[in-house]
Amino acid sequence: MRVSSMGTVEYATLTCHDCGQDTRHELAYAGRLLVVTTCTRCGNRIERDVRDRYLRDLRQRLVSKPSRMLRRFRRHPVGFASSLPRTTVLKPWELLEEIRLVWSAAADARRAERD
Amino acid sequence: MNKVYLPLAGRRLVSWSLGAFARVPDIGALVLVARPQDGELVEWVLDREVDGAEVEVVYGGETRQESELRALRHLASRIDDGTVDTVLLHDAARPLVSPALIAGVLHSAREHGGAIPGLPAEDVVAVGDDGATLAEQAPGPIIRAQTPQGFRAGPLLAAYEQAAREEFLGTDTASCMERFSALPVHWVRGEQQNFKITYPHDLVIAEQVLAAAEYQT
Repeated sequence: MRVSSMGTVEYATLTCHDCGQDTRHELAYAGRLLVVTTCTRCGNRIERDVRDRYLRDLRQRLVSKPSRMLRRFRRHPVGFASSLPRTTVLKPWELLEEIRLVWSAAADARRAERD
Repeated sequence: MNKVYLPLAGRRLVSWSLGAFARVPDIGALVLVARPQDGELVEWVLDREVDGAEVEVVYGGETRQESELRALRHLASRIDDGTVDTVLLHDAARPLVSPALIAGVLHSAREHGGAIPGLPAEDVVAVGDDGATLAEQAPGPIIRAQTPQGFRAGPLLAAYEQAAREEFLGTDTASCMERFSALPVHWVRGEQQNFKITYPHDLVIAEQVLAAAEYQT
């Protein structure tokens, strides 16, 4: 898993429904939502307009964040405490990148619908 | 990355299956077969996403069948002493399996010896011997097999050991049992939502199914 300039990006082999091959796909996520998938062989993309769902999901993540942090702290107090400074700095940046990903994919999805 | 570790609605694919199995009261040991190179990721997933279930990790082999054999050998002593009477083998690329289906397969496997879930394949047409024209005779009822596939543990281990000795490579668990065991295998009705993640859009559908079910399988 890596946090790229656009949300969290993962790579896995899936079957591309355009070129029909088992190929490496790039999958970009914003929070719990899959936003863009790209076949790295033929470039076929699925872009979703998930703005409404993203905002609902974000609200839910914010509400559940304290309990999730507490659970991690209870299980791994040292690991949690040592990762906290880094997370505190990176989290707002990650959030901005998620928002950028969601809104950019929505614009592309709308454009594709029009064309 | 192996697709079973892809995120789906906030958890990895494999976590959804493990969670469903953990919620079935009759399920005892949970064994996850993983590739050695995924060890660190497996540890992270089990720690962060699989709460309250003890999962034993076994590192797999070159083929699916060899991986399953390693998992069975891991359970061998418990199979021998009767602690484990039935084994269910599941493909983690089917993250939306429900506890009800797992319980149904387990019940049927205990009763009959073997059970696989499936959905009637009503859109299947047979092809003639020439490979080009359609066959006149419609085939008998056909199902699309799903997982988990369940079998009595003793005969299953024996069949896999024999398959290994004879270097037989089956297409799935049932094919190995068909060849090396006389155990009757029944089918139980599978679930539409228990589909295999194959195409990118399958992830989108699975995410929507989970959201509609308020993130419960």
